[in-house]
Amino acid sequence: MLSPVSVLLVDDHTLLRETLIEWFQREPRVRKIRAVANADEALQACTEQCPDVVLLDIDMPGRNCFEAAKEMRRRCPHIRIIIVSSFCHDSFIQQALDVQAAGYITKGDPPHALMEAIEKVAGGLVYFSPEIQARLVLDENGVSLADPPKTRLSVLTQREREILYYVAQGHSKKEISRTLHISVKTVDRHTANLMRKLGIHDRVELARFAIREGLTTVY
Amino acid sequence: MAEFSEELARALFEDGATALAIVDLGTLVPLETNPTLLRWTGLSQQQLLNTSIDQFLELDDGDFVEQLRSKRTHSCPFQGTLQLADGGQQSVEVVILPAPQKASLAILILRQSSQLREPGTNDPQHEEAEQAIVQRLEAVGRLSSGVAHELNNLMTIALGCIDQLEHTVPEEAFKAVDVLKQVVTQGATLARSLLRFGHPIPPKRRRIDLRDVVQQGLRVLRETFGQNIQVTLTGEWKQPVLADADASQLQQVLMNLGLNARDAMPAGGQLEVRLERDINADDGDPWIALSVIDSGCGIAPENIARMFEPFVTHKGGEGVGLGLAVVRDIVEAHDGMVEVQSQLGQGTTVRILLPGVVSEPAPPPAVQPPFIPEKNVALLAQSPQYNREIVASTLEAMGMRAICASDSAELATCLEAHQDKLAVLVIDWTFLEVEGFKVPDDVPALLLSREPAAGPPLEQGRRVLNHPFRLADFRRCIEELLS
Repeated sequence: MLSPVSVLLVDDHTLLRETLIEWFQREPRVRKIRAVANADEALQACTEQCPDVVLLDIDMPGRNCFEAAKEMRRRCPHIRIIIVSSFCHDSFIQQALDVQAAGYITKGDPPHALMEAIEKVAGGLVYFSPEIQARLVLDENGVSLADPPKTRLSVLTQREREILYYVAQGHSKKEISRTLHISVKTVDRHTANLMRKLGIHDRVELARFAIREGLTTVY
Repeated sequence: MAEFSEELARALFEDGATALAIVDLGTLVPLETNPTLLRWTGLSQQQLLNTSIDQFLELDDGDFVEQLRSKRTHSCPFQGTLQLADGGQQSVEVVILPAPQKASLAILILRQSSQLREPGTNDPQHEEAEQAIVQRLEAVGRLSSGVAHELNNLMTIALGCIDQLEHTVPEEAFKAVDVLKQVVTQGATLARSLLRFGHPIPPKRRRIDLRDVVQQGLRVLRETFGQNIQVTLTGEWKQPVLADADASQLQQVLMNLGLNARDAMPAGGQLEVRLERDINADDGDPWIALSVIDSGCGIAPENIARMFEPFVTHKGGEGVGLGLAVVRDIVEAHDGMVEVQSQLGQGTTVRILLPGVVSEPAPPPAVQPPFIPEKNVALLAQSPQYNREIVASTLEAMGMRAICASDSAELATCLEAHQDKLAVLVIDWTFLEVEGFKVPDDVPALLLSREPAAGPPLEQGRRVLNHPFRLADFRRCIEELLS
């Protein structure tokens, strides 16, 4: 039996957040629960006190959750991150694997699955659904999904995908540069590159492409 | 976009006899059409898709081509005349819509004018009634998901912009932005309902207790109810009410029914949620039931038959008529049934019947450990750490206790400490070739190799798995080693 864990819940949905807090407060295996509404607040919370497990919503306004997950792991190497999503897109799962998330759970799963996931990842294991697990391919350099769907996204670099995510969310170049701590010129260069690679030269079309490919979703 | 969706929904779904075409504004040739237009014009699909639309359709008042290319959404349909295959003519109402995000296309919707007959039909009213349901579903299937995608995309962008506005507008505009956000959010919800309708999601079934579903659903519903609605729970609440079902989909059913009940009681009232189990248990196939009972205004008998049809609403302009259609879809996907009883002024009972299960929740299918219980330790000498965690999780799911070693020294210590209980060693090639670790002969081992193995056949108790490998293959190797 593991000792009770501290959990940081990151979700912009107030009602969901409050419901889960209430639920975790009754759960003896959770010793502390803190909830924040976005990735920036989550990073701040991790800096103040590193939680054992983070439940990270995939689609929040502001900083990309995968970008935040990477930064959390840099700041707190032992932190265990579970990606929580309404969707089970391959693109999201692959990004979760790329940031070495310890788990991936959908919002449709029952609350006891959430607790099971927390216990497993806190114990040093991973938590993916059996369907995802069966498709994992292990290489010496990392983990990927078998039979990924052929998508134009694969022509983009990780950085270009991040930029595309923010463009699709309606962020300006200046905002993207601030979020990613890079210059506006660099954002410009990445944007031009990804537009050229995708053959899309319009921000609205880019947003539609990102949604279609599962890089982002509607709120 | 709200105007667009309403116009389209009205034209398509309120009247069953509807012809549709997507027209290229450059060539004026239809790119897509539905069978109704083929039937009306008597043209084959190939003929129709190679004929300029103005060859067989003209507006009674105004230039059709000019209106088509105006790229405006018109609030009133035009009156037009359709040339029929037999040389006759037919009056039609024509709705022209710009295709969302495709400036080069227009959507054309044609309806028969009521006083005219469909060519070659002796009893047009009878045939229309026969065709109405088929055409409605056909239209929903073919177009709703496309329209929903467009709506969804536009709503996403709109919400993104509103988010930005929220941070920049002056205080006096807060309220306007708030209203705008609510309206667009409603639009996004509608788009998602349409998307779900176009692509029903098969239920992810697992053994669930319906009591949990109801309690979670009610927690959310109560947030939307005013103080004047009293919620009571009746029926089976002391014992599990078990079903093999998708909990989140059933929660959506409860939400949709609960919100309808709320709307039926604008002045407040009683909402009863009743659970029943072991219905018809004597026949060997017990059913369970979830009923949502309101004391609201009730439904007129003539409306009950149509209440599950998509885009049919009796809320007087509120709602779009998808809630109950989704309820029916979900329940039928669970092999269940929906029953409705209602009396005007007395209230409505919607009862969802689902196949029940007799026994207590079954434990997840146990993986039969192919090893003797005394030896259940799997030693794991592998890198990188993330891979090790995933492999360890797989071994634990197989019923073993996974112990990880990060270098040769730690591995040697672990081997010694766990030798009595050791079932298998999983070891990376780096431990063997770089660190020079020697696997004891009596230890069954799976070697994770960098490249296909060459050389003599492997001795008993050894397997090789090459990178990259699937977890399913890894699992098979372990089972072979232990059998």
